[in-house]
Amino acid sequence: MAKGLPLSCVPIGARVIISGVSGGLKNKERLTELGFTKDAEVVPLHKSPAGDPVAYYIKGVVMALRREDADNIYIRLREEY
Amino acid sequence: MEKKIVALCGNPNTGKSTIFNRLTGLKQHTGNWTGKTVGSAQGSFENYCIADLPGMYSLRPKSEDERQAVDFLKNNEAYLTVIVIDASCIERNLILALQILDIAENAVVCINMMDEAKRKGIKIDVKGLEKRLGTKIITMSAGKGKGFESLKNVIRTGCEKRNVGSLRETEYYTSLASRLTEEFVTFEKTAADRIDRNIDRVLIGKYTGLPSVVIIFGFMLWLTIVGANYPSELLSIFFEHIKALLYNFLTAINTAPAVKSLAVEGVLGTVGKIVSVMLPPMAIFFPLFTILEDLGFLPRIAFNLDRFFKAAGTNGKQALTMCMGIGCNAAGVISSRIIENPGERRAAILTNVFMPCNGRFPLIIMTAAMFFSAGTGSSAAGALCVLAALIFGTLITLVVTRLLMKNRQTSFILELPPYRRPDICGIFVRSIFDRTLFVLGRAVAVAVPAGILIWLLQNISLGGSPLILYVSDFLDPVGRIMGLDGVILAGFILGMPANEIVLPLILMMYSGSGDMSNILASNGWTMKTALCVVIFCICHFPCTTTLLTIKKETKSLKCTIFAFLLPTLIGFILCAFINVISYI
Repeated sequence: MAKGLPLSCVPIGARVIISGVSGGLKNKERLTELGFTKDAEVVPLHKSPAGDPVAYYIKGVVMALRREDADNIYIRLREEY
Repeated sequence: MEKKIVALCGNPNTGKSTIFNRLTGLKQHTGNWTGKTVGSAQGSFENYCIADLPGMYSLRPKSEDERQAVDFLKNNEAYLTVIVIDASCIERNLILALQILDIAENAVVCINMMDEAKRKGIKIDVKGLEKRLGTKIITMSAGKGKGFESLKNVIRTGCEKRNVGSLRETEYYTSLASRLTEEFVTFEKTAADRIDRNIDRVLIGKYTGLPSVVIIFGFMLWLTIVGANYPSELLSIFFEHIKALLYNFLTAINTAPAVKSLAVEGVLGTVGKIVSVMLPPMAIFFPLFTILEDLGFLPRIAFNLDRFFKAAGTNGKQALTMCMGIGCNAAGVISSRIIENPGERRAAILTNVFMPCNGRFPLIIMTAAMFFSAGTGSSAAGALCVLAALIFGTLITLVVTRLLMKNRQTSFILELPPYRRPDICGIFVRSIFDRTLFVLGRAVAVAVPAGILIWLLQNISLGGSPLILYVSDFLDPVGRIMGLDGVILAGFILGMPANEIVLPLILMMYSGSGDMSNILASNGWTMKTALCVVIFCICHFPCTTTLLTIKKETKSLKCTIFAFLLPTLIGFILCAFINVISYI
């Protein structure tokens, strides 16, 4: 099964849906606990001055993630379902 | 009988501390639980002991402060566990709440920030959720003081014990949280969130992010210096009067001249200098800084600077600990607990001293104002100098951190909380009474013996010259290599218990009179001396309190000794380098 696009390549302001989280168990668990769960809606809000990390809107909260972590979160477009 | 313990727990930024402060009437003090230190504040409400646990995201802890909170909950020591939930992001908060409800027998849920949720168009079916969770739910708007009666009632009556089991898979909780949210919470779009986004567009924007950090800090320092000038002058006039009064009084009761001089010049002189130099800037800076803290700006600084820390092999959270270090390095060292990775945490602890704490501000401001702004002595120039010192400290921190970190696999995940209006009244109480007076008290307590010691060194002669000359002559060669002199080094060494007293001690040891710049200039101070003093002020051994805190946090004597030697050596090399350059 194709994993889809990583969250790191989503442009600022686009609403997308998380289709899965990969990476090591500990990392995956941390991201999941912070709200990055399957089927959750996520919106990239702001890039930091150096372009990385990026602030994401997830479940009513703004979370900052680095590219490496955002690479482990896969997304699909909203229209797909 | 022992007091029953009520624990407040939940995600970070849910208002636990606001509830805690209102409940206990700001009577905070930290203490110990059975055998181990908990990084939580404790206070009392009626016959109950309220514990404010550090914020956490899950019961599988990733960092030291989370671990302490989790251990406490797992031991089921509390008579009542209050799970505080932020109504405006209920789903994420429920993930932790559901985990706690699975292991804590006596838990109730408290949905806080109902006012903020209402503003954001969030409606919660509390009754339905209460039924489903099988526990009592209290709703509050702690910032506005609403909902405390029902919380107090629950504390007084306690709650029914529920059957608990063991922790399940994380997926179980996340999917349950999202189902519950779908069922019991409705969202409507409002403008509240847009305001936050617009502020963020500036404060963490691509081009405006870094300048706004610099401008905000610069403005804060400028306010501190401008605001402190006048009260400082008043205080020093006041102490001159007191000194005259004491002198007259001691003359009237026929005290020996030596004792008179010891009491007036040695003790009262040092204390007066420290209070008048230190108190006004601290009383302004601490509240201003606490306002930034409460607004939610500090995590934004970490966000803005993360990329640089990544290059240094660590992460932006170190910027948070550095900000705390500006207030007090010991506090900065403690706050390093928020860093998950032990190696990164150690680097943050070791480099915290490069952030000049505000006990060192007066020395930097005075030296800078006297020499670099060449007589203009304007507050703006002073603020720029301290700002430059902070930026210099940050650069040193980055370089040293890079050298300390061998493994460069790092991660940075940080919540940027919504901007919140600070509770101004609480801030003044907290920052004046808890921080300012505490730090001032410590400085004065150190100043008295140090003042006596210096007076003795100046007034006891051996072979025709006072002892102080032997001390400064002994240190002089080392000082000269660094572009300083023996007196300055002696000031730094004697000032180790509290950096605030370094400048007053140096002034006391120098002979000569007149205003400060005259005394310094007549003792051979040049631009180079001033520059080296400022650099050594930033890069030298941490104060005793900070060293003790480092020992406590790292539990390693080796690490503590390293924390002493590392900045001292760097300061020595930098100053010697500048000194050599100046001769070429």
